[in-house]
Amino acid sequence: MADQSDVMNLLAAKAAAAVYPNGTGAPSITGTIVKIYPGWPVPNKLQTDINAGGVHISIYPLPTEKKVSVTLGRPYRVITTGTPTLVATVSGHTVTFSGAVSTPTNVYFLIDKVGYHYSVQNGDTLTTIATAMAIQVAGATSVGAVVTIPNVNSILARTGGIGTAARELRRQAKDFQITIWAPTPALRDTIASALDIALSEESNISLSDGAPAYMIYTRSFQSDASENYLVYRRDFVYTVNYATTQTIDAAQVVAPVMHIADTSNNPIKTILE
Amino acid sequence: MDAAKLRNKVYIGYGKAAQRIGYVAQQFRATSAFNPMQTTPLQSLHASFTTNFSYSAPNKYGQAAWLGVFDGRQFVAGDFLSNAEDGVFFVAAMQTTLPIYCVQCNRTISVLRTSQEDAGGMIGYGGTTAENEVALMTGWPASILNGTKGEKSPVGLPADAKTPWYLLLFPSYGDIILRTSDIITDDIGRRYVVSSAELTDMGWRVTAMQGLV
Repeated sequence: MADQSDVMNLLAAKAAAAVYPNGTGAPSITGTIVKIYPGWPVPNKLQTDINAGGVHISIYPLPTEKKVSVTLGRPYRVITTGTPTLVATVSGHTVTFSGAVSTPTNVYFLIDKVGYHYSVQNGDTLTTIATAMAIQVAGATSVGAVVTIPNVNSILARTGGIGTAARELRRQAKDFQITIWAPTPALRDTIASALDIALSEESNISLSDGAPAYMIYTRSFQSDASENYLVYRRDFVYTVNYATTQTIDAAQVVAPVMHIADTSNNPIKTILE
Repeated sequence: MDAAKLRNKVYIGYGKAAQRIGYVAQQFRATSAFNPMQTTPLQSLHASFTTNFSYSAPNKYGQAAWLGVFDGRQFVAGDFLSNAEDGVFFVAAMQTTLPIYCVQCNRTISVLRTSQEDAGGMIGYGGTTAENEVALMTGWPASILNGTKGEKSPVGLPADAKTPWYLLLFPSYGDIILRTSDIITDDIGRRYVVSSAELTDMGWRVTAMQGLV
């Protein structure tokens, strides 16, 4: 799920990219050391760095936020499909397992409209998986990673992994404060100018839960109140609209089953696909 | 016998006593507002510092003033005495026939004042920065002792404590007049903002807020 710590980290990363366009191994846009982090400056380090001509950029969520209307219902959306590394290939009357064995993975055979399932266990190999499937099917044998199923008309083999799905529980537009602490007005201006552009350039942002989020400029203010401390400050406030999400494990469907019933809910037919 | 003669005799007496009880100190006198202790010493003489003439009590925390026992005939208020054993003192007052009033200096300070261009027209961003601070006095021994109050720091960090205040004593020099908002820095990297600067006949008595993030 995404929460405000994700947003703070994202803002810090964006600020770092703006201030160190060539990477943190290369000089910053001002040539001085710029420290960027969520949280607040530690007084003694801020003093030391200010005295050495350095700049701090700190990011902190403000208490202010707006309620955001959300649509009814909380549907899950697939975030990752969980593509399995294990592959089952059907050829004639044989099924051959290949690829890497990993858990969790589901293995499913649909043979003449009858389903057979096995969940891969820790320590399984291609051979043990083939054995586990073969013993379920009447007349089937396995040699190594190959299962032979004679005297049947149709064989379907599927493998499925476990992906993730997420749903939005609520949505908020929260204000985040990005504060520049600089030793001179000139340094502050240089950093602020680059930072303002970088943060406003793109409003759509991606957070870890994959839910849509966007941020927009709200206000900024400048303070020389601590100039006797040789600290020049400018604050940007950006409003980030992001979702609080719940994530679950979602198994890939390997055995779709369709039930057909009449209007009185009496079963007519069950079809395995 | 008149007051001047009596005073000389008293100082000679101090000098004789100091030869027995005091270490040898060097006398310095500022010739400019900068680095008075790097001038050529005027003389070396025995000097003793005490809290009372019975030598019965140590100096205590928060107490900058001492009585100086040395031959003061060549001294004027504002002179410095320095030796390795006792430290650095400045002579605050030499009042007629009274003991010599000295102040022990625990720090070395510089007094700075923010400048701005004198020309008219557009003159750049206004504010105190390290660059536009001009030194009025540098390298002056001073007494910096805890003051009485503290107030909230304008930096406003969560880890901030209240900003402490200090009482500073140091000699005055020439026609340099300190004012509110002058900056004082010391040899351990601290920074003070002058709140009130009282010019007494014993030198500057300054209250200052520490400006340290």
